[in-house]
Amino acid sequence: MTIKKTNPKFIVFSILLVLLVIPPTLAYADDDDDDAEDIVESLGWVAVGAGIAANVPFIAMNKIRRYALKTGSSTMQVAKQIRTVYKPILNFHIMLNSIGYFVGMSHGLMLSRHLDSVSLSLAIVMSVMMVSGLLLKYTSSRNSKLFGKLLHGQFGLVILLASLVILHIVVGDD
Amino acid sequence: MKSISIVFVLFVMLSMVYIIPTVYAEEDDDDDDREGFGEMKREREHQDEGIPIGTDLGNVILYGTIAAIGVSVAYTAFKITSSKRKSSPQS
Repeated sequence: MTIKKTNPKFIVFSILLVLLVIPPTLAYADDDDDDAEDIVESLGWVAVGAGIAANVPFIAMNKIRRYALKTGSSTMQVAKQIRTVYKPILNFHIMLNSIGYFVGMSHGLMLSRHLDSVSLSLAIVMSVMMVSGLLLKYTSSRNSKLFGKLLHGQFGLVILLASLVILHIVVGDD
Repeated sequence: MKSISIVFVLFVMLSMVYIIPTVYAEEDDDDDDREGFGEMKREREHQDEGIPIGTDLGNVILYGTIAAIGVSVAYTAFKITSSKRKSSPQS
């Protein structure tokens, strides 16, 4: 029996086991130990950094490609060049966003004693974006793919997420 | 068989990770109770919270976010259904 054959069950079971790590870390983070809290706080900064690194180049690339396609034949070469690097940048976007999501959620769970409205709202919006991204990536049905695509690219949700992140940083610093 | 042994080793390792910090945390809690700082510390932590859940501003932010998500989902669903109606042949 290889790992590849039992892949889904193995992954789910491993995730459940990894979740066991969270309760002891909670005990550390809610403790009065300043070093532990600093580490958990820096997890939040890692999540923010991963989010910026994952999304800014990806959004910029999409905008440039659309602009190049709109303006016509002179910039068509640029659009073609961007198309060749689209897949690696998409994978980079997915990978870094997944890391950012799980790091951010760990940060939130470890500091759950200080839970406030902004943090909860941020967690909800992040989860919605993550679920819509998963729908977009892993579903084969045309309707759910279209639903994921439209929801994941909603400008309003992106603005909401960015403003909640800024608000969370400002409130957290106070 | 290989995957079961990997899972078992993972389980043992994670159990160790689980037990050791909990013991440390309990020791620290005892120290706090002895010194009488436990309650003061908890009060201070509650005061530190930025925009607590249940306050007016907190509720506005939370329900506003949930409403915005609801509107986005509804708008997306509306767009899909309207595009399907357009694409389907007229009777």
